[in-house]
Amino acid sequence: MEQTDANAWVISSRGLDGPNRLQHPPFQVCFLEQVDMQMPLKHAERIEVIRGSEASFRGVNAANGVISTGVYSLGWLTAALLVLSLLISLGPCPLLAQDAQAHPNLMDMSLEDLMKVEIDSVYGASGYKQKVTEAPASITIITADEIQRYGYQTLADVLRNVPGFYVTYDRNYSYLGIRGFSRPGDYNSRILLLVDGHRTNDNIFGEALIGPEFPLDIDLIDRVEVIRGPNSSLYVASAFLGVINIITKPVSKQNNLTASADVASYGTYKSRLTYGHQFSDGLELLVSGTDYNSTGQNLFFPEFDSPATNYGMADNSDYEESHQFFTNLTYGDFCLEGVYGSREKGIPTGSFGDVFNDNRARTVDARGWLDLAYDHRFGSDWGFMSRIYYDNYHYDGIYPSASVPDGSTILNKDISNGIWWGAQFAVSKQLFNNQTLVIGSEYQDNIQQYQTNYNEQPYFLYFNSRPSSNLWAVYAQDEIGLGHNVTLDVGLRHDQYSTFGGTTNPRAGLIYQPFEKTTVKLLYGQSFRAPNAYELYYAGYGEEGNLHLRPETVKTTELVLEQYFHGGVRMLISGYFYPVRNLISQSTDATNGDIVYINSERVDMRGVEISLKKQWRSGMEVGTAFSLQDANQVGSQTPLNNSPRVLSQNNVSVPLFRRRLFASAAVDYVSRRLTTAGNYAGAYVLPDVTLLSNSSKRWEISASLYNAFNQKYADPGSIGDPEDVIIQNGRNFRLKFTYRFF
Amino acid sequence: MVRAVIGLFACFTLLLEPSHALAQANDDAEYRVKLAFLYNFAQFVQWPPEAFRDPAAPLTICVAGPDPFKGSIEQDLRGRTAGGHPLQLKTLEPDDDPRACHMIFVRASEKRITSKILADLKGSSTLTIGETKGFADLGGVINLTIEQNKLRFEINLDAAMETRLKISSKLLELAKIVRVGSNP
Repeated sequence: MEQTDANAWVISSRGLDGPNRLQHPPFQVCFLEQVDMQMPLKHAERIEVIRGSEASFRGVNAANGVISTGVYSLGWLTAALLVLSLLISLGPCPLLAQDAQAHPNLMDMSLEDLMKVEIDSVYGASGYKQKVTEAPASITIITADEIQRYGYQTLADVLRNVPGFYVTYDRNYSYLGIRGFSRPGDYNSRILLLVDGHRTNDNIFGEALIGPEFPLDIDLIDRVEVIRGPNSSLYVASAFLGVINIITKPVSKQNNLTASADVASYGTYKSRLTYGHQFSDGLELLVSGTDYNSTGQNLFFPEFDSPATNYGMADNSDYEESHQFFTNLTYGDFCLEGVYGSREKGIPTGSFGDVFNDNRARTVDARGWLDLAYDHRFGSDWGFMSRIYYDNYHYDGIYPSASVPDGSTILNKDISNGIWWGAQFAVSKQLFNNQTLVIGSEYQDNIQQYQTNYNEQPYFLYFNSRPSSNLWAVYAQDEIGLGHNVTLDVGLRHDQYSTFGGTTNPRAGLIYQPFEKTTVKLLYGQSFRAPNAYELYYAGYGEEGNLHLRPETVKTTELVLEQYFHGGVRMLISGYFYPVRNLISQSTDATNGDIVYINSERVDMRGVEISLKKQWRSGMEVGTAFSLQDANQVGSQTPLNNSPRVLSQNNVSVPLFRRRLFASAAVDYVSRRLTTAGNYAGAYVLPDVTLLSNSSKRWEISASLYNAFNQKYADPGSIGDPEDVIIQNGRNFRLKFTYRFF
Repeated sequence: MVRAVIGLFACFTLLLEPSHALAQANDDAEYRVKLAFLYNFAQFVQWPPEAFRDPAAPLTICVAGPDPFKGSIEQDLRGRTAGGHPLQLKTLEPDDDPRACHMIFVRASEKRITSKILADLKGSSTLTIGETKGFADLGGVINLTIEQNKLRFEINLDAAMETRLKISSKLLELAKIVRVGSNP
């Protein structure tokens, strides 16, 4: 073992790759390995070469190539944190001396073996088609390795560290802000969230769940691809401002049994069991279950600081519990995936007129799906991709409200149930003279979009709505190589909705590679978002529906420069202009004070993002991003609410002891944001620090400190919240232990 | 606050600046593998005896265009030989005679002068290796390609015939064979 270990060599060249999958997100079969075989071009998340008799050169977990030196105790964790802060102040140079790991020897490998080595074609160096740089979008990729190193706990944590993104938490759901855009009452319906190509947004709210309510355990994620703008989303409906494509880990990375346990602040415990097996006949099976429980905090809300409302203290109301199940069966070109997650969360804020400090106020979200994908290539130039799926979403909201006459409490119940199925298929053909043509179609049948709202005792029904609807779409995309360094990507998609009719949207991207390490992309795209069932029909307590809603539209223009420098530095600069029209936004009906959605706003979003990232072979990495953004109502002098002008995300990860102990820090900055009441939620800096030890083949241990300087900060509340700003977590920690059985 | 953030950003940007020591650690994986291919080609190709001054003379691998092996990668070749000849890496300068090279690795960036380099080498015993689509069709002997993120290579048999190189059948087995003037 030691012999192989000493020769293990890992090049981590993450984040910048992901060729064809980016262009065919819905169709890649679940596992990377599968895609390797079938896509004309692909990427490697990381290159790992294990010397010796190892037959396989990919899919080997980095931790497999590391010598066990025992379990690190927490005793010197504090010391290591000190060392980290010292190192950050001194700069990285002294660390290189520690890069004493045995150098790989590719030179001793036979040609046959060399031909099995995967190279990351990201650097754009060889002049061949390199799909990352050629993908018509501005892209950021986050890998499992980064999720571990930086101690991200949820998908929301991952995303708030993505340039141009920020997250708002109302102590129930997490809301994603993109390029200065995060409207109150928007349940992440403007971002398309895919898991292995499957659309996760439900058929009632169109909601992308990104907090602990996301049905997939973050530990099962292999990579997260963040694709800004609607450009590369021709394949699936409703990518208004961007696509987040999650690819789960292949069985080869989680073979046999893995057990993981977390202990964190606020009485939080999480446990996970994952089992993976590759059968000899090629069948691959993965099963995983997660249990999460958090007591939460007793929070103080100054708005309720009176004797009648417990002096503003919401006791035992911040609890959270979730259960997640994931399974994946892969056989040849087929991939069957089943996902189920259910989450219950107490609402401490007294939102929507709830009785404050009544811990029966809670929501339960349960989301599940079954997805069968088939992906096959015929010869070298024909590709066929298809999938069918069956989805369910159930939501229960329990809201204790004061009954008007005698002040006693009645329970208001809010229930939604969505059932839908759909099918997608696409054919791709590589034509002569550098053209790749894709033609496809999609159908979704919303069998049930049930919503109701009623009082329990005495029974009073506010509304009951059982619509069903469907949509179909056809699209075509052609990628045309013009000369040796210019590519033109053109696409057209037509959608037909049973609710409002049809719409056709073109997209185009011109990609120019003047030098081998320079790529310039000029992108244009039109997109729309159809009003969802919630916006159309919801008429519960204090809200009303609006059957006259039309789709909102956006026409995006973006200029992207990707530059690679000697030594593995990647720079990405992006400037964009997104005029959003007929925006469906939360408003108040002047006649009765009810919340209603109307096509009211015209918003112009413009901004610039710059990010730089460097990785060293030692495993060290440094990244920094800075975004200036400006999202304004057309004709209005005041900025949009919950729209920060400046974002900055910074990260550094340092191998303290070879590749076995990492100290990492992610530091986010969000500038002040206007609230609905016209005040400001103050700017904040959040430094999160994590120590990760994967010194042993079996054990992986990490310790994280979040909001390390105990910054007091708050997020703007939405219209339904009595608070103008909602207090966020102070300094908190997490310890995580993972054990692999062999 | 904004000023502090700009400061932070600047600080991180400085961290990115490759310092002297850091520049050594070039993680360009692609060229590490490509150099290993070049090394293997040297093993499986036989040069005519007159191509070397003496049996211990170095085998020169020239690079036309920016040298991607400079720095840590070229260390991999240290102490390695082919047929008893120590291997030597060298950048091909405009005034250099390409015929003096045993192998020439033509970078993708040299697309415009590829035909000229190949014409200059007509009748020589120099093994030409490219990394650009169509290099072998143009008359280059070996072309490195990337398929599904793995390195592959094409051999132009006609071009190989024109040189006086003996290419091992093992190499031909692994290569994709192309002919002069054939279309991709």
